[in-house]
Amino acid sequence: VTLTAAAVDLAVDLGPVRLANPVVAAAGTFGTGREAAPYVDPARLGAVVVKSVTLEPRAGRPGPRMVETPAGMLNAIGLQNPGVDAWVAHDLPWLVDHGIPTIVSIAGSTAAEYGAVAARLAGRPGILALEANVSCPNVEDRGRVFARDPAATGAAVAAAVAAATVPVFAKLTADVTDLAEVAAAAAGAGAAGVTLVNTLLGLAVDVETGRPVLGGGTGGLSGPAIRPVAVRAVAEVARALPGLPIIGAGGARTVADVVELVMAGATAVAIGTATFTAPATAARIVDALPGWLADRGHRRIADLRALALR
Amino acid sequence: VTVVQRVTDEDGVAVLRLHAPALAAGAAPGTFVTVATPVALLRRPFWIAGVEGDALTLRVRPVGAASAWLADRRPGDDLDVLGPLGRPIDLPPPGGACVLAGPAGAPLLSWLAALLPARGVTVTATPAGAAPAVRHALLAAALPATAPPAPAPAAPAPAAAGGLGTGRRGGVWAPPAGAAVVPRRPAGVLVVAAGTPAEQARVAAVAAEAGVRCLVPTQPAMACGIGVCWTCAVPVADGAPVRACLDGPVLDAARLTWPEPAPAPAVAR
Repeated sequence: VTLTAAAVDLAVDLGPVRLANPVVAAAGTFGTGREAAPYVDPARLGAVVVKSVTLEPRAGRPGPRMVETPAGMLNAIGLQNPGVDAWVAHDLPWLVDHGIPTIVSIAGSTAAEYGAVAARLAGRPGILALEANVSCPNVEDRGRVFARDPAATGAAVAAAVAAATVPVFAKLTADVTDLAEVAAAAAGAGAAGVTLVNTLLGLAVDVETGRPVLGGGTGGLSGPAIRPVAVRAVAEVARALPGLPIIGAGGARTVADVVELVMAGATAVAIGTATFTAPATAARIVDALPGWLADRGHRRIADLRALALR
Repeated sequence: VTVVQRVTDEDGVAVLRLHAPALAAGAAPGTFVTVATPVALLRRPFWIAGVEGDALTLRVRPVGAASAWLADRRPGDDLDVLGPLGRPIDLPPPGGACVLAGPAGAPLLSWLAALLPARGVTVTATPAGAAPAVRHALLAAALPATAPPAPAPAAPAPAAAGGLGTGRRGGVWAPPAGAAVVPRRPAGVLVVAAGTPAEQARVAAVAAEAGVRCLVPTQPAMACGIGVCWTCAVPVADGAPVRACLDGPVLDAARLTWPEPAPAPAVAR
C-alpha cells in the first residue's frame, strides 16, 4: 500500500511542548510575526520564535548592520527591541489573536535579567515556551557571552526557569570547545531543551578603509555557510544527551535540509536566513514535507530523529 | 514578472521595463522591489523608477555581481520580484513645486521628473553636489513669480567656518546679504535629495534653512526588505532606529540624525 502525504504525521514533541509540525521560524528572522504575515501565514508553522526581547528597550547597533558573505550573511543588530513590557502590550496580543504558536526569545546582560524578563512573561497567554538567547555579552563577566561558559549558561537558564511558567529552551553557540558540556549545563539548570546553533561569530573588514564593515564590529554568520556546523553540533549534543529535545538551526532552506537536521538529532528545525531570500520558505517546507516523507515510506517525522546516530 | 524591454542609457544604467500588473498597481514614488538573483544568496533592493500601465521600470546600475546580473537581463526573461515594498512619499499638491537634487539618473528623481509636471507641480532639477545651485533652485521654486530674481549663487563659506562637505547639519552656507531666505510659500514645496549621504545632508541643510520639507531616499544595507530582519535600521532623532524597508526608505530629512563623518581610513591612500 502506498503511503499518502495525508497519512504522514508531522507532529513532534519538544519535551512537554507539542508542535503540529517541526518547522519553526528562527528568532530574529521573523520579526514579531506580524511583519511576515503578508507573505506567509505564521499559524501554519510549528511555532514562531519571536525576536529577542530584553528587560529595557534597546536601540541596537549602528549601521551597517549586515554584510553578505559567500553563502551567508553577517549581522550585527544589537538586539534592537522595544523592551519586554512594550512587547507584551503591543506585539503579544496580535500573536494571541491570530493563534500563533509562540516561543519568546529572551536576552539579558546579567543572569538576573533573564529571570526578570521571564517573570514579566509569566502567566501570559499564548506563549508555548521561552528560548533563552544566551549568546549575549555578560556584563558581569567582562562581556564574554554566556553561552561560552557552562556556569554562566547555567546561571542565566536557572534564572529564567525559576521565573518562567512555561518550558525554557537555551539557544547555544557552536563557538565553544565542548558544546555538549554547555548543553549539559543548560539541561542541569532546568532547560527543557536546547536550540543549536546561534550564528557563528565573524568579522568582515573593508580592505579599502581597513575598518570593520559592520558598525558593531563583529557580527553573527548565518545562512547555508553554517549548515554543516549546525548538523554537527546537533549530532554532538544528541549523542551526548540523547533525551534532550533539540531545535536545530543553521542555514536550513529546503525539505532535505530539515530532514538532515532531524536525522542528526533535532526534533524541530528553525528556518532563519532563508526567510530573507523567500519569505514563505518555512510554510513551503511544511507543505512539501508530507509528500517527501510519504514518497520514502516514512509515516512519522519523529521516527527519523537521530537516525544518523544509530 | 517578465522583462519586456531593456535599454542602456548613456550613463551605463540598464533601464528595464517589467510586465508586472500586480506590482505596477501598488507602486508609487518611494516604493521599491527586491529581486532574487542566482549570483547572490540575498535578494537585492531596487527603487521603482516608474510605472506605465502594467509595466514598471527599474534603473539598474551594475555595481556588483547581482546588479550586473539583473542589468544584463533581456526581454522575455522571467524574474523573481517581490514588491512593491516601502512607504510611498507624499507628493506636492497641484500648484506646488518640487526641487529634485541629485543625479538625473537617480530612480526616484527620474520618476518624479516624469510624473509631477502632469500633476501641475513645477519641477526644478539640480545636481546635489553643486550646493549654491541647490539653494538657487530652491529659492526659484519657492518664491512667488512676482518676487525679485533669485540672487546669484552664493560662494561656499570657507571650509573652516562651514565645514562644507562634512555631511554635518547646519552652517553650510552664509546666506547672501539681503536675500530672502525664507520662501513665502514653503508649504507647497518639496525637496528630494538623492546622491551621497554627504550631498543629501548639504541639500537637507539648505531646505531646513528655507523651512521647506526635504525627503531623503536612504539606502542602508538590507537583507529582507519586509521588516523581519532589522538590518536596514536608520537612526532618527525622534526615537529608536526605524526600518528603512517599512518606515521608508524615503525619510523626512528633519527626522534623520546625519552620521558624523566616517573615521579616517586606517589605510593610507
